[in-house]
Amino acid sequence: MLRTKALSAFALVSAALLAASATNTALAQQKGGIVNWFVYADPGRLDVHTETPLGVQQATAGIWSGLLQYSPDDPSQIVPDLAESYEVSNDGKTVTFKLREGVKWHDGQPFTAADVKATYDRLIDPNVKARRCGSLMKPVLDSVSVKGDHSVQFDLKFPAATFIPSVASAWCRVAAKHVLEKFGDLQTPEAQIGTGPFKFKRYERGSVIEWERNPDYYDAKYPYVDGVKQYVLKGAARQLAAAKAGQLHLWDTWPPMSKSAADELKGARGDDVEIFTWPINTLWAVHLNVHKEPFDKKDIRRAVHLALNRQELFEKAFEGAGTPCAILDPRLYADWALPQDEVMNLPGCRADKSEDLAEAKKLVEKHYPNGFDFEIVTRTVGNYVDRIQLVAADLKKIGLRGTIKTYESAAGYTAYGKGDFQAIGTQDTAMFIPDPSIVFSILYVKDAGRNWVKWDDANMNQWAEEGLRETDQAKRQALYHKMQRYLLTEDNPAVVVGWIEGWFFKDKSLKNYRRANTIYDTNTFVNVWLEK
Amino acid sequence: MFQYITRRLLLFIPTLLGVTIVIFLLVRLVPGDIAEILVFDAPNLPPEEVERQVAEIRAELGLDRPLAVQYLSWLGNFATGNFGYSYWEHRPVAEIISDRFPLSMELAVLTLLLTMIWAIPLGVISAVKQNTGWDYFVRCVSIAGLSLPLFLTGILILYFLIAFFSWLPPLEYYGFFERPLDNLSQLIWPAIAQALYISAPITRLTRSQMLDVIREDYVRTARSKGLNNRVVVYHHALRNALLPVVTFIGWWGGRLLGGIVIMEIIFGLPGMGTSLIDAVDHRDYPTVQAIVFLLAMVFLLINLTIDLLYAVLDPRIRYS
Repeated sequence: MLRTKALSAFALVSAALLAASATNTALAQQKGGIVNWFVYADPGRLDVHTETPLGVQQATAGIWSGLLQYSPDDPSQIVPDLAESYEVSNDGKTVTFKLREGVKWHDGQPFTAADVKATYDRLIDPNVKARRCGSLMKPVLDSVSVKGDHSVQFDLKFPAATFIPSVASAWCRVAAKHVLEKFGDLQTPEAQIGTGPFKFKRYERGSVIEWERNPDYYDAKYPYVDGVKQYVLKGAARQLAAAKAGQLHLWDTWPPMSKSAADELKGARGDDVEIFTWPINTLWAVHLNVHKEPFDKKDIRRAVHLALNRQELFEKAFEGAGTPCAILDPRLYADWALPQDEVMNLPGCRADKSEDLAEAKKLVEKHYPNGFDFEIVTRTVGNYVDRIQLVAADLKKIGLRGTIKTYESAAGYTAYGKGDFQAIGTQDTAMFIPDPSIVFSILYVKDAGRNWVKWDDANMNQWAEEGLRETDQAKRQALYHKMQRYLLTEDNPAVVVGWIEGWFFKDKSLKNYRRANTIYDTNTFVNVWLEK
Repeated sequence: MFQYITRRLLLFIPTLLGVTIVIFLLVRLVPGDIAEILVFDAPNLPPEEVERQVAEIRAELGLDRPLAVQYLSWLGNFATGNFGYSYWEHRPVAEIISDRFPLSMELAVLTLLLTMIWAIPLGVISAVKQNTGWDYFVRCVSIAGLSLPLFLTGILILYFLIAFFSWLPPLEYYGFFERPLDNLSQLIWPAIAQALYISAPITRLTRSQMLDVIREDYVRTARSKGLNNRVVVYHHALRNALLPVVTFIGWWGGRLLGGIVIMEIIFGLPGMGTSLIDAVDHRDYPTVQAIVFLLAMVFLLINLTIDLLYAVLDPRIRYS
């Protein structure tokens, strides 16, 4: 017997709720207009399956649909997209999606199960460098088979709790089989033939990316706006100037504004804009190389954890915006995160640093009575250079005297990838699915891509694996709480400073906009409209 | 003259060859290549997968070959007009250049025009009206232009436009032949910013040269013959004062090209400068090499033009 997942029911309930609220919103929804948005860098390459930068995801977000998606109306929920529903077998190893009928690709070809198979075969193909969705799928997905034109079966290697959140991710979009066959990849503007609410209209490199309404979108009432223009704006000065001049409807993307920039914008635009803060699902950590002195000693790693004054770091680096010390941000991960009250009373995290500093000094003196000189590195991006100085100052208080070395961005990643550093003083990592497992699988397990310090902790490896397989939500939650406590109280070479937040704005004429839990999701603009 | 130009053009060849070797080696000396950039940025690939992907990309792009082989292969293609294929943008480099080059050159020409229009006349006025209010004003403006870093002048212009007009040029770039007014409304501001910066030393140099020249005997003679002051200043004095100024402008051609990169970023213009920065960031070697080669070529041509101008300004100069 198969367990039918609640998507169909959810869709019905959502429809009922929407119908109930229709009297309030129907008059407000308006068709037409172009949303003006920006992208912080020229994406260059456009293949959403193989590329990793946010700019690529942004540039193509409205073009594609997935089988599932994070709801544009309530981004905390997973809702149907190209799949109407799905069923999971009793052993949890087979997931069958029932596909929406009558969907057309932007070139008029019909969408079928063969397209889904072609997409996921590509994503798990060892010869295709699918670095985001592929890295989520390859460990769990065994094979995909077509079960008729509108049904497709996924066979998993094990019952994976992360599978459904991954399928809904903005990086796991379904591409057309005939497009992949024709172009070989999705890198060029010509290959941007999706089923999404917008068609790819043009890409003037270095200047603008434009989408236009897809009149054949499967949900005929969407999208409301005629199109979206993303201007390529590099540099904070130009971005802020454009916002102040009213040339943008929305700033919800990287890089966030500083508080002072947000105040300046408010001063220029007054009540025409809504300023808001939001976590951008990005974790700030200090990475300590466990294979190099002095951080090969657990005591020294603990001392670093105790020495960092997170509240002060956030106050100085982000004008107070952020969630200090959290391994999982409660604003994004809700009950999966340890309660912040508990976290902020733990040694190293608590506001009063006197005891923590004394303990940290003792730990350092135990191994290095005269302290220790080491090299602390960072990449020269954003405010990293400012932040590393604050971190270095905190460490100096306990006798760890870091000489700061900076790397140009790409050179930094190269050095980190080779483990060629003692400590990385500041590095942000953006999580690309809103599932608690992602933090651990990116930063803390043995083969994690950002475990640059090559930490190999038996407990963490085992628990992370259990977290992927555990399908009982309560047990899974308890497991992730245990992992967070372990990192905060035992050992942690990627010492968490906290989750950063930023200031953003929305023009008041842009309606029905919802901020997602990752910077990558719900960037399709499918359900927003512009008030004239 | 023809012989001279031919000889100078032939001298371009070793210079440009030198440029290609230097830039070829320099971009490869910077740590990280595009294979590492593409793969190391991915957050959750296991180490063996990282190594495999890096090796594969290098082999695909020919980056695993010896440097000399890579260079000769690139040079051979370049000599036949094949600028290579951009790793990053997935299109021929020639296409990138044909997209980006016109904007940058338009900006350079506009900047030079503005500089000529105000820098030289201001220098002359300042010299002719030495130690008057005009002179002090021009000197103040020049010192301000010299003191303000170029990026700051650009940002201040943006802020000025918003603060006083609540307006900025369109975010989307339009070509000159597509929408000339929109195009000029986008390019005039970075050109003004850069012209302010470049014109400051030119104004000061023109002033000091003019102060020297207007005290010369032949200028005094011209005046004593009863010639109109304007004719004396602009026909006799200025022409002689301009030789070092023109040399200086040629030397500043290089800085002008560097400044264009900064202006394109601040004003959000998709020219060669922004393309070069992107290419360096992504270690897109063929694009970096082609753009630097082109910029070097432009620089050499500016200097050749300046040298040829000497003969126009001073008929005694002959090229053989």
